[in-house]
Amino acid sequence: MPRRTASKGDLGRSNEPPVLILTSLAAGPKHGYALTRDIEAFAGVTLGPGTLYGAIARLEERGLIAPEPVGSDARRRPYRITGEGRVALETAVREMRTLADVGASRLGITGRVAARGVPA
Amino acid sequence: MTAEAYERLMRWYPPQWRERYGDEMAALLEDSYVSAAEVPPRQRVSLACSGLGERARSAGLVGWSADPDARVRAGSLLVLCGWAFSIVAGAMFGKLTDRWSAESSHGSHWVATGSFSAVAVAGVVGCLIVLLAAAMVVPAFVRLLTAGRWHEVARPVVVAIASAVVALGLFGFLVARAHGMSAHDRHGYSALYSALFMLVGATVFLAIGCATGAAVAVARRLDLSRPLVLTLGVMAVGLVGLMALAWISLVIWWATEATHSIGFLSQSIGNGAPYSSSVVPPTLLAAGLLMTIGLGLGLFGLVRIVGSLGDGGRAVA
Repeated sequence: MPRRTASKGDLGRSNEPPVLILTSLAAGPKHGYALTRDIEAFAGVTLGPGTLYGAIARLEERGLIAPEPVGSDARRRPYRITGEGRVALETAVREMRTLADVGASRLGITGRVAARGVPA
Repeated sequence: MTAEAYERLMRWYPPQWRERYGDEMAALLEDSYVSAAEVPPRQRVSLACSGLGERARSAGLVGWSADPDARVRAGSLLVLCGWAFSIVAGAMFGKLTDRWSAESSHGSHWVATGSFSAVAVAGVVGCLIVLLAAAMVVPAFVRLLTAGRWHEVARPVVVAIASAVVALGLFGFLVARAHGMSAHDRHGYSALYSALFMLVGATVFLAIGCATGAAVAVARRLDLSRPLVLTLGVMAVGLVGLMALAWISLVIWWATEATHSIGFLSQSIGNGAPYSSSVVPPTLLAAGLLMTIGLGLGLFGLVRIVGSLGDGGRAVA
């Protein structure tokens, strides 16, 4: 089986924090608490503060997200997805869709399955 | 409850990380919990683990986001820590076998003699490598001092010097006392001498630990050129090779003695406290375990060094 090599845009599996954070930010900039609530809503996953900010630090380091200019509340700094982040998320989503399509076809599932709380 | 209470939960994180994300994370905790006291134990443990992980990452010990030189340096320092364990193990092995090397080696199996010599050679060559590495970073240490950064390393260096002075003083006292004693008493039949010997041993091991801690604290702050970092990395790889040689040789010596000369192991120092064995005497077991821990650390450092040299200087997040 060919081994995947880590690259700058490699985000890991669909339920991993980087994918969840980029998916959330694809809908618009959010600060830490708004991110955790949004991810809970669409994925049913609760990211702890350590996990969330560990992933935010890594994504920022890789240039996939960027902090927004600080407004009135400097302690609740929002983040936005960058162009590179969008490309990385698109790649991840395409891979997941391919996998989902193959799985659905082999299981004989037709039609689209709605994500939790999000219309299909 | 104040923001400081939330910030205390982040004490596990490195200072630079807290500087950048500390306020935001404290705000997230404030938004998620009514007070810091309500943060559940599971979350506290998770924060501690994440914080320690960030510390290891910022030191270049885990992950591949740090620059390759930092990873080579971290790997080399890990090897140095492993070497400190091996030195302690070697000292225990040396004490355990001092009668063997003086009396029994001529009648021993050639495999035992050869493997014993290999442990000794690995120890001497390894110490020379460490001393050479220390000499190579002296100019960088002088630059650190002249730049007025002594205060950054003062505490671990002073502690290391003080512990070394205490250990040397006690060792001198032990040697002076031993001169007036019979060989019979020196080999475990004087309770006072045995207790003093244990105290000196513990002090020496503590001094080695403090010296290693000081070396790590200093080396992390030194401004080293890339060629020098790479040279030190290659020397660390050599040191791991010597640690592996010492470990393998110790195992071979042990197995040979356990097979051909059970009498020596059964009468070795430390046997009887806490248990007796003619095959696995407690002192030799402790030395073997320490050497294994040292080799494990060395191999981990080796992976960091070789992985960082191999990726051509590429930092991957």
